Amino acid sequence: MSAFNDLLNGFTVALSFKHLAMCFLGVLMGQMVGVLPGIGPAAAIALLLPLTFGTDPIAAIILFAGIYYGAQYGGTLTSVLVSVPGESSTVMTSIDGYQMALQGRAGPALGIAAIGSFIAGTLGTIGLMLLAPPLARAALAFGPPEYFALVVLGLTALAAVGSSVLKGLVAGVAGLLIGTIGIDPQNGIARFDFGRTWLLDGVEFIVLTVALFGIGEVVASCVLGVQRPVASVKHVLPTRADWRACRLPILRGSGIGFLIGVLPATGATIASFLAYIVEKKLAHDPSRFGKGAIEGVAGPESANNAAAAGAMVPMFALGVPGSGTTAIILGALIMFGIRPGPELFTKNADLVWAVIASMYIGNAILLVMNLPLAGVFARLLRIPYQWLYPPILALCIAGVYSQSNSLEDCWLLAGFGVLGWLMKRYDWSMAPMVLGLVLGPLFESALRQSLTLSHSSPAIFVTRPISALLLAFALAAVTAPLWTPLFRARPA
Amino acid sequence: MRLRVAKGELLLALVFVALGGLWIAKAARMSLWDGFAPDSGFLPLVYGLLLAGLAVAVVIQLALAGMPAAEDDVRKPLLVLAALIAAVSALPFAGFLVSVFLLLAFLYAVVERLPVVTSLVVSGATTGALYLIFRTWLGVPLP
Repeated sequence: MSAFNDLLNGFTVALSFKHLAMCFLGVLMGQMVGVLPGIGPAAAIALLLPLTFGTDPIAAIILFAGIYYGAQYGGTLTSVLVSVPGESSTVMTSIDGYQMALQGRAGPALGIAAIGSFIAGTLGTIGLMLLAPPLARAALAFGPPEYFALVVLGLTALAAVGSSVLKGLVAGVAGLLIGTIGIDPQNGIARFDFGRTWLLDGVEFIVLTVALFGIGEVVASCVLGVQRPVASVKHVLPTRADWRACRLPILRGSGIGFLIGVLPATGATIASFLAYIVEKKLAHDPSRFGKGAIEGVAGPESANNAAAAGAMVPMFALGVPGSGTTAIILGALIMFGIRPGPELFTKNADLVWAVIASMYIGNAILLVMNLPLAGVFARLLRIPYQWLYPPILALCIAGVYSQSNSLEDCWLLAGFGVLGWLMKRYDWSMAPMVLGLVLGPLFESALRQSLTLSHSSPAIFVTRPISALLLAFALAAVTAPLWTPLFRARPA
Repeated sequence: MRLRVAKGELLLALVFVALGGLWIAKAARMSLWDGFAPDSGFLPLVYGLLLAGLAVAVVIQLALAGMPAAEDDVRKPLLVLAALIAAVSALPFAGFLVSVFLLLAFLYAVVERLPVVTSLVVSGATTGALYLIFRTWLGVPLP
């Protein structure tokens, strides 16, 4: 009953006019960035960080969460209508969704995707509500060695999400390294300031995030200038036969998505792949898949939305992000002076429960938005990218300058922007770099405290069971490319 | 033997190697240990070693793969980045309004070859909107 009471309190906060407006704005923006090419939810949150600096943290996190799960809905439109997935998690949707659009059934494809997303998002939020608090309570016993191991797990798990674990690790270590610039909080010694007083405060999270996800992504995408042909959207409500075919795929997708989303280093993309494979395996006639099977839309779409809610479980309960976007939301929490991790549910219960409550509200808003207004959002696909990216660059400059009125920050923005462009161009994961910068101070203080406790013995990290378990997970994440092929089915 | 790695990716990996090397050189001159716990130089030294080592490993991995990533045209992204750097350089003396307006007008009219009048109108409107949001609404003293 405690979770139910907490949720009711969360609703009283989330239903205030300001928070409701932020929820609506968040899901609307998420829907739009999911549709628009060249800008994802991570970049959108990065661009908004400077605008929310110094405001109410609850409103800001409701806004960011809305963008995160709203983008999962928006990405479906591009997958179905132009066969260009707006998000990696909607790649599977494009296979059968686009075939349905070619057969003149774009409307039912979008309709079932919206209904499936709503059901899965709501079930996922229930799962988040039930699973995160006990996990956080269990983690309250964490000491410095466990926090050290958590940071190692967070960084390695996020590194494993990208195309190459090795490149992800380079990015994560680079973030930790950049985090050492400035005054050492332990003894007040200036490090790596290169004689520049403005570097004594270190590199701000906002500067690095906006540079990598704003400038880097935008510059990498500026070559997308062409307008694409878009299928028309009619009759979004699925027929009774469509609904019968999709009931179970939606429920299965919700379960698969949530469970996969909870695990660090997995996320919505893997969840949607798995849901598609499961539906194809269970289908009476698997040959329909790839030719416009509506279950091939319902399963993956439900899975990616449930995974977005599932990824919030480790972020809220342990402070370990399950995806690039949740890594930025985690950084935003720290920017607002809130320490993510097990204590979040006790020290900032208002915030967590208001965000959870807002997710129920946001999913309902998204359902309304996506059924009657799918055609309106589809028109956004006709905007050529060449009109969009210059204002985004200007917003990056204004946003970064406004954070501490510093021209030097604008130089860092340009420098890290070049780095971000190269990383995006060659498919190096950028989220571990941001997470490294954010978690660097916690990592260093946890290491120092642990070794002081153990009189310099590193055995403390492996003799304490939770710390040892977390480090074992981290090792499994890093070595995944070596052992996962062993579990793949061999051809007969 | 010729290294079959995309030049840009090699450059990126070498930037990380150099960054790691710089951290190793500077951290080695700092105090590494104090009592039971690491001192200011310890973790930066470890990070530097890890970064340089991992970045070298990436180069080796790319070379062994032997399939360089396709190098599409970089002229446009480089032009956009050059315009951004020019706008940031102009901020101290030209101010926010002029720098950002010129950046937008250049990107629309020159890089994207959109109609000049439309480019100037959209650039002016966007710059004005940003000024209103940041200067008037958020009270940021823009340069």
